[in-house]
Amino acid sequence: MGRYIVKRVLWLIPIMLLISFISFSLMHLSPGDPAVIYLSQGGQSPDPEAVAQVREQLGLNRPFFVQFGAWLANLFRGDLGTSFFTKKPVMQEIATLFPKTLALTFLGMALTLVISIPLGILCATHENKLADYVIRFFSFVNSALPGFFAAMLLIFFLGVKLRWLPTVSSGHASGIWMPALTLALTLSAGYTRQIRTAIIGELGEDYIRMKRARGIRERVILYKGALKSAMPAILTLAGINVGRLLGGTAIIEIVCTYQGIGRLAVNSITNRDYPMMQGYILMMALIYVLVNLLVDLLHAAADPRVRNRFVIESAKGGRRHGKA
Amino acid sequence: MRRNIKGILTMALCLVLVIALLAGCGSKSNGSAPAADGTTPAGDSAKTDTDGKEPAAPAASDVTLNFVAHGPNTMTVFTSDPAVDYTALINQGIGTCETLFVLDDDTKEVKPLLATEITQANDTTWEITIRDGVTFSNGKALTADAVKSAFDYILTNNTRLGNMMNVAEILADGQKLTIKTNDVVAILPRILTEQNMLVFDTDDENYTDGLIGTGPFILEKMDADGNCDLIRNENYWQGVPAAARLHTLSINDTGANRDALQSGEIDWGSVSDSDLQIFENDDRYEVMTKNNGRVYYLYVNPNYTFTQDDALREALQYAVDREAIVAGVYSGHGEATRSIFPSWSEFYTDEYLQPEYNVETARKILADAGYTDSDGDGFLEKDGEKVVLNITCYAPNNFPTLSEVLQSMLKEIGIDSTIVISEKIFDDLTSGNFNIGTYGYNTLTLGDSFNYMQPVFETDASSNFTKFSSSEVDAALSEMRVTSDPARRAELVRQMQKDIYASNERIYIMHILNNQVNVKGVQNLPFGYGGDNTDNSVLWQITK
Repeated sequence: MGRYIVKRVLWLIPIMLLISFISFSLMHLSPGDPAVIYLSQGGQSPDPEAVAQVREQLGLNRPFFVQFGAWLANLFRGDLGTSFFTKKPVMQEIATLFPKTLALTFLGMALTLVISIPLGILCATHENKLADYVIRFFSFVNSALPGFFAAMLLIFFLGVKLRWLPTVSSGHASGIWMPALTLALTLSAGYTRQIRTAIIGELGEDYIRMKRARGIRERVILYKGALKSAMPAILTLAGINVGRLLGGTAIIEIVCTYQGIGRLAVNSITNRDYPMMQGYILMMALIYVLVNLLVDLLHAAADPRVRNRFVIESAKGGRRHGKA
Repeated sequence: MRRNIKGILTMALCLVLVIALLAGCGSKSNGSAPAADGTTPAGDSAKTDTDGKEPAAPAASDVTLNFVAHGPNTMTVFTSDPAVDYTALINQGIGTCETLFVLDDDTKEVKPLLATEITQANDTTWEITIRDGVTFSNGKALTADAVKSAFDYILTNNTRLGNMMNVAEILADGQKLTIKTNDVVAILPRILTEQNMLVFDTDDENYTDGLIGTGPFILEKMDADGNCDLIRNENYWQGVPAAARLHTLSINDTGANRDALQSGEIDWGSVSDSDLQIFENDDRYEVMTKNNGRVYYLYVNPNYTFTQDDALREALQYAVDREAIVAGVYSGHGEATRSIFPSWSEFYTDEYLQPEYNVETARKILADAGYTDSDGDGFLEKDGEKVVLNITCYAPNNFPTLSEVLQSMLKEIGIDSTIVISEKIFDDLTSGNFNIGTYGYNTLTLGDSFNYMQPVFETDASSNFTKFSSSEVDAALSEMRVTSDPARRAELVRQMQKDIYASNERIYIMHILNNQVNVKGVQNLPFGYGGDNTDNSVLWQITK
C-alpha cells in the first residue's frame, strides 16, 4: 500500500512538467498581448513605445523556451513568479485566495450532502410514490437551473428582499453562505438522484434479501447495509466534485462577489497574466491528482476488495522493476 | 434507529457549522448584514477616537461607501502600490492620499490641492509651491523633498506615467519643487492631477497594503479583496473630517452594486443604465448623471472593401439615428452628439459638425453613386456585387445591441450587414479587416483632449484604425505637444475637426452619461467617487 502511494506521488513530477509545458505553450499561442492589456486598463489606447517597454520589463521579448526555462528554474526554487498585474508574488496571491475557495468548497459540499442524503434516502424508500415523484420533479427543475441564475435568485430573495444574507459576499464574515447555498442548491439535485439510484440498487441485492429473510429490521438494513454499501459511489462523486470545486466556481464567485481562486483564474486569463495562470494551473493539477489519490485511499479503506487490488498492483510493479 | 438518523443529522449540521465558523474566522468583519430599514446596523455606529477624546467635529454616522475597482476591474487581489496603474484609487478614492492638483468637477480646470501654485519657468521647467502646514497622517510635515521622493518612486516604476512626464530632474528646496522635463510636456499640471501621481510618505516602505498620505482618512485595515476600514485623520489640513469612519466595499460589478444599494449594504454605487430607472422611481435614493466626455462612436474603414467608396461612407453618416440609439439602446442615459466633444467643452465647435440623420439624403447619395437593387431582394448592389458590411463590436458598453440597431438602420437605406463580436477589439480593429467598428473612448482624459486626439487621429497612431491622415491635423497635434496655452490648444482642436468630419471615417453617436446613485442623506460625496477625473478634495466633508 505504501509503495502504491509512493508510486502515485512520484508520477506527479512528470505529470506536472507536462501540464506546465502544455499550458505555457497554449498561453503563448493564444491571441492578446499582456503588455497591451495592462496598458489599456483605463480604456485608453496604449502607446506602442510604452508597450515595448512593458514587454521588455515583463520579459516577453525573450524566446519561448528561455521564458519557460526561466519559469521552471524559479519553480524549482519554490518561486512561482510575480503577477504581471498586481506585481505581487503569485504564491502569495494563491495562498490568500485558496483558503477562501477551500472553505466555500467544503461548506458547499457539506450543505449538499445534508440536503441530498436524506432526500435520496427518502426517494429510495418511497420509490415511485408521491414523495419520490415530488422530490425528483424538483431535482429535475433544479438541475436545469444554471449556477449563475440560482445565485441571482438567492441574492434577490435572501439578500435584497428578505435581507437575511449580504448580497455582496466579499467583506462580510457571513458572506460565504450565499455562494455556499448556491453551490448546494445546484449540486444537490444530481446528488439526490445519484444517492436514490445507488440505494435502490443496493436494496435489490441478494445480501439485502438475506438480511430481510433473517428478520433484520428495515431501518438497520437501510442504514447499515444499503447506505454503507452505497457510500463508495457517493464518495467518488463527492471526490470528483471537490476536485472540480477547488478549481474555483468562477461564475458563482463572480455573481456573488466572492473573492476566490476561480475568479482569480478567470481574471488571469482575461488579463493574460501568464505567471498567475501558470501558478493556478499547476496548483489545480496538483490538487486533482492528490484528491484522486485521496479518494482511492478512502475507497481502499472502505472496501477490502479495492485495498487488495492496490496491494496486487504494487507487487506487480515491484516485480517488473526487479526484472528490469 | 431513530437515534442513528438523529446522530447523522447532528454530525452533518455540526460539520456545516464548524466549516462556516472557520470560514468566518478567515474573513474580516468590516461589514454587516443589512438592516431591515436599510440603515447601517448599530454595530457600525460612529465612534469616538481611540484615546477617549470627543472628535473636534460633530461625529457623523459611519458611511459605508462602495469603492469601484476602476481600471483593473478584473483584478481580484488589491495593492495600494502607486507603481501599479489604477490601483492607486485605493489610496485616493478612499481618501488616504492626495495629489498636488485636482480637476474642477464642472469646468475640468486644474485647481490646487497639496500645491498652491504652478508656473512654467521655461518650456521644460515647472516650478511648484507646496502648501505649508500640511502633514502626513503620521505627523510628518509635507515638504517638497517628500513630494520629490514619492514622484521619484512612481515615475521610476510606472512606465505609463514615466513616459507621460518625461522627467529629466526633480529638485526640492523647502516648499519649492522644480520639475525639469526632457521635452516640452504641455499638460504637465494636468498630469499632476492623475490618480497615480500621489503624494505619500516613502519612509514607510510597505507600499502594497496602504500608503501613509495626507488625506482626510487613515487606512485602518485593507483585506485582500480591497475592502477597507478607515478612520478619520484628526489632523487633516482642511479641517476635521465629518465622518468618523468609512467602510469601503470593493465591488466591480454594476449588478452587484444595484443589489447592495437595494439591500442597504452600501450608500453609494454606480449602476448600469438599464437599472438606473429602479432608483429614479424610488424616493429613498438620489440619482445624478453627468456627461464627462466619454463618447461612443464608429470607425468607418476607407481601406476595406465597400467602405473605400467615399459616397457610401457619406451615406452612412446620414443613416445613423443617434437619438433613437440613445433612447432605445441606452434608455435615454446619454446625449446624442454629432461632435467628438460635449457641447459644454471648450473643444466643441458648432462650426464643424457631422450631418444630421436623414434617410432620404442617404438613399439619394447611394442612388447617385450607382447603388441599385438589381435583384429585388431589398438590398443594394454596386457594379453587380451585393454590398454587405461587416460591423465589428465588442461586448461591453451594450455595443452588440447598438450594432443590431445600427444593422436595422443600414437596412433602411438598403445596406446589408453582418455583426462580428470581437474578443479582442483592439487587435481586430488594428488588423483593418472591418467596415464599421464600434468603440468607446474618454475624450477628456485629465480634462484635456490631446490623449484622445493624438492616438485616434495622428498618422499611424495606435488607435487610428482607419489610417486617417491629414497634414493639417498632424501639424496641429505637433503644435499641441509644445503648447501649454489652453486657449490655443482649444483652438487647434476645434480646427482639426474640419478635416476629421470631412473624411467620414468616424461617426460620433453619443456621450454616455456617468451615473451615481446614493442613499438620500449622504452629502458631499464627489461625483464619480473613486473614478477617474474625480475631484476628491471635498471627501473630508462627507456626511450621512
